[in-house]
This record gives sequence, C-alpha cells and structure tokens, in this order.
Amino acid sequence: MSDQERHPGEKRLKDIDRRIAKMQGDREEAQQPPRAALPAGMGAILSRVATELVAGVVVGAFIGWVLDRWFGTSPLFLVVMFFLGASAGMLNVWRMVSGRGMATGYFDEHRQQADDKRETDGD
Amino acid sequence: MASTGMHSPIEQFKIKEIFELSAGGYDISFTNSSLFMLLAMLVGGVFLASAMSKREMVPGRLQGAAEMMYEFVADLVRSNVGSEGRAYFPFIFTLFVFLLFGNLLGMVPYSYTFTSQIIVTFAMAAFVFVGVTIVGLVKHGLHFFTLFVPAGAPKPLIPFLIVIEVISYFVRPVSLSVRLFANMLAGHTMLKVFAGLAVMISGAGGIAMTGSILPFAAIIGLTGLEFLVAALQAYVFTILTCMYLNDALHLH
Repeated sequence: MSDQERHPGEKRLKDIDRRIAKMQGDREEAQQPPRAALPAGMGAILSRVATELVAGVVVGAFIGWVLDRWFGTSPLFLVVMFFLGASAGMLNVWRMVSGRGMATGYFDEHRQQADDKRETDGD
Repeated sequence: MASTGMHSPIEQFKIKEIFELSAGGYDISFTNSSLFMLLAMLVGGVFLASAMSKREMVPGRLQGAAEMMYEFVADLVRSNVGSEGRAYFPFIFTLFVFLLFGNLLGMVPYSYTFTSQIIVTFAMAAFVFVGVTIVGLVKHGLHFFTLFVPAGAPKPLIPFLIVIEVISYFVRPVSLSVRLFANMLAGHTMLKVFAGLAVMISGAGGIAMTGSILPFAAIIGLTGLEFLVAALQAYVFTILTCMYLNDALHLH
C-alpha cells in the first residue's frame, strides 16, 4: 500500500471490511456456476439413457404391482403405472440431455416465471 | 484363473463363505464380499491416516494424494450442494473413499469386487435415498412434497405429472445402483472373456499361438480402461449423491 493510506482511521477499517465482504461474495459467486458435471462421453450418455429408460419402466411396474397387491385390483395399477413409469423414464432422459441435471420437479423456466410472480414470497 | 480355458467368466462374482454365521434365522455369514468391504475400509482408513500422520507443510507424495482426494470431494460438495453441504461432507467423503478403494481393490488379481453385486450398490443407494429424503423432510417439513408438483403445468395434467414425478423420484436409487453395478460387472466380465480367449488360442499350439497376441493386447488396454472406470464410477456415485442432496436441501 502507498504512504498516503497509512494514516489510521475508521474510514480505512470500513474500507477493508467492505473489501473483504466483496471478496468473500466474489468467492461464493465464483464457486456457484462451474458445477461439476457428469462424464459426457458418447458411451457414458448412452448407458445412462438406457439405464434411465429401463429403470423408469421397472420402478413404475413394481409400484403398480405393489398397489395391485394392496388393493386387489390386478392388473389395473400394473398397466397404468407401467406406462407412467415409461413416461417418467423418458422425462428423466429429456432432463438429462437438455442439461437440467437430475432435478425432480420444477423445470427451470417455470421456476423463473413462478419466482417472478411471487417475488415477495421469500422462498 | 481361466487356466484351462474352461472357467466361466462370471465365476469371479461367486460369493464364497469364509466362515458361517447366522442370527435370528438369517444367514449373515462372513463372505469374500464382506472381506473385501472390510479391506476397502481398512486400506482406505490406513491410507488416509498414514498419509496425514506427518502433517508436513510441504506435502510429500502420499500426503499430496490424500489432500487431493480431500480437496476433490470438498470441491464437489461445495459446487453441487453449496455451503450448506458442509455438514454432509464427512459422509460423502467416506462414501467416495469406500467406493474408490472397493473398486480399485477389485482390480487386484484374485480379489473380489463387491461393487459388482447389485445388492451391495442398491443398499448403498437406498441408504443415500432414504437419508436424503429425511434431510429434505426435516429441513422443509411438508413443504418438501412441493418437489413433486411441477410449477406452471396445466391443472388437468397435474395428477398425472405428480405420479410421474414420484416415479422418477423412486427411480433414483435404482439408476444410481444399477449404473455402478453394471459398469463393474460388464468390465470385469469382459476382462475374463478376453483372458479366456487368449488362453484358449494359445492352447492350440504351433503357429496358431501367435493369434493369442490380439486378445492379450486387448486385456492390457481393458485393464487400463477398468482403472479409469473404477475411479469414474466412484466419482459418479458421489456426484449424484451430491445432486440429490442439493435437491432436497434447496427444493429449487
């Protein structure tokens, strides 16, 4: 630091506080965007797509089978949940390839709109 | 292994009992799988403890490796979960070390890869899944369930969308465990298939023996690839755990 800044004073302390706060803010902000990503090779993506599709159908059908056993409605829920499971698998694949991560629920653009609508909700 | 060319490539995944145990009618025998889980835990623990025992200012090779692992996972948690993820760092780091050493120990000849068993990976994924759900419920209460309601969807479609979202939520532990298990199983099976091929061709004798060079070269390449997969799949499991945790903590 230069000589003219050497004189003591609260102004300088405040200035340092402000700068530290700014740097910490920068640090936090800089750490947010580069989210570590999953491997993006062709084989990796292919195997993940296959896993998601199959897992969706399997889990859906399994839930349907369990519901059928509870309610004795075989094969109503099995059939319905099979197709809903297939759509869940496709939804997951779409989320994956469109770079939305594995987030369940809200899609980004809708979240944006919803946030705009209830700006003051504080959530 | 495969010394006669008669061995099946999936024989390596066989569970063998080392000594028998049972509790309450359940078979809880100590198997080769349990042995290697124990080993992964011990080797991981001993590696980290011995690497950090000196705590030098300028880290040596071992300490450097341990610090790299620590920083790698810390960065992963920081960038995917944010500062709230700090509380969960010990768990995520343990998970990563356990999986990494489990996968790498599986690369040692005559050893056993416990991550090639779906029940092992599924138990771990289910633990993560249940844990993350509880974290979300504790943090947000019933508000947690808004995770399943897509915002901005047409009203008549919402019941269907909720069911689809719930299914896609339950898919998580399945895809998480299948990914790790399938990669390890496929890789190790492939290695053994090529090894069996090399042995079988060399058994032909004479000039035909030179043909075994090809599968042998493939084994060398595949072994390198398998080391990559071992580390990569430990990483993938860890980063997905971080993403799920982030979903539960922040609810979008």
